[in-house]
Amino acid sequence: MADVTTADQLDDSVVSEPLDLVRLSLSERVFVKLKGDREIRGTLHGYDSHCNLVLSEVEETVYVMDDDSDVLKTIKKQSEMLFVRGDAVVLISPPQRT
Amino acid sequence: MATSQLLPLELVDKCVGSRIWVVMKTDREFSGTLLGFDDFVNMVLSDVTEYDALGNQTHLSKILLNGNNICMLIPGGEPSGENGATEE
Repeated sequence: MADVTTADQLDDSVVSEPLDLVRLSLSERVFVKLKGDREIRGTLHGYDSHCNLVLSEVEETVYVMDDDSDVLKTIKKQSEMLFVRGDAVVLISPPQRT
Repeated sequence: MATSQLLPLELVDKCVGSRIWVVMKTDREFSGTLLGFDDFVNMVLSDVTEYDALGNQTHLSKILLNGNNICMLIPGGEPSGENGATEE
């Protein structure tokens, strides 16, 4: 369990739990899907055990949906730096290849 | 962790005293001066503009914003300010 400190947890090269995968993406571009039909792409500068995130050079896409779950429009926004609250995070991944 | 990184709550702490733009999980946003926050990212904001889903604005002099529904925080940001929002 994560609350017992082992040699593995002090070794940054070992991947043993899901948040270790996030650690591998530090300083890299990531794709993050959020609740509320939003996605963001940015450079990951920091995270914590709640999945709160710090991202820079961010592009956010908001999908505005109608009552039949069809996409009415998308809104794109850019930010230099932002904080994401962990309980809004659905997934964190390397950027998708488009 | 030996990796050096910028912890999320450190970023919020750096914003205390300056303008911040808060995006909620719903289609609501707040822009104000950050006076303080706690471990749950509940926030005290002053000189606040609330933007609802329809684009209506309300001014509030000081609020305690419940952190439960916050999605993102953008330092120094204003919804129609320096960051371009484009519709497609």
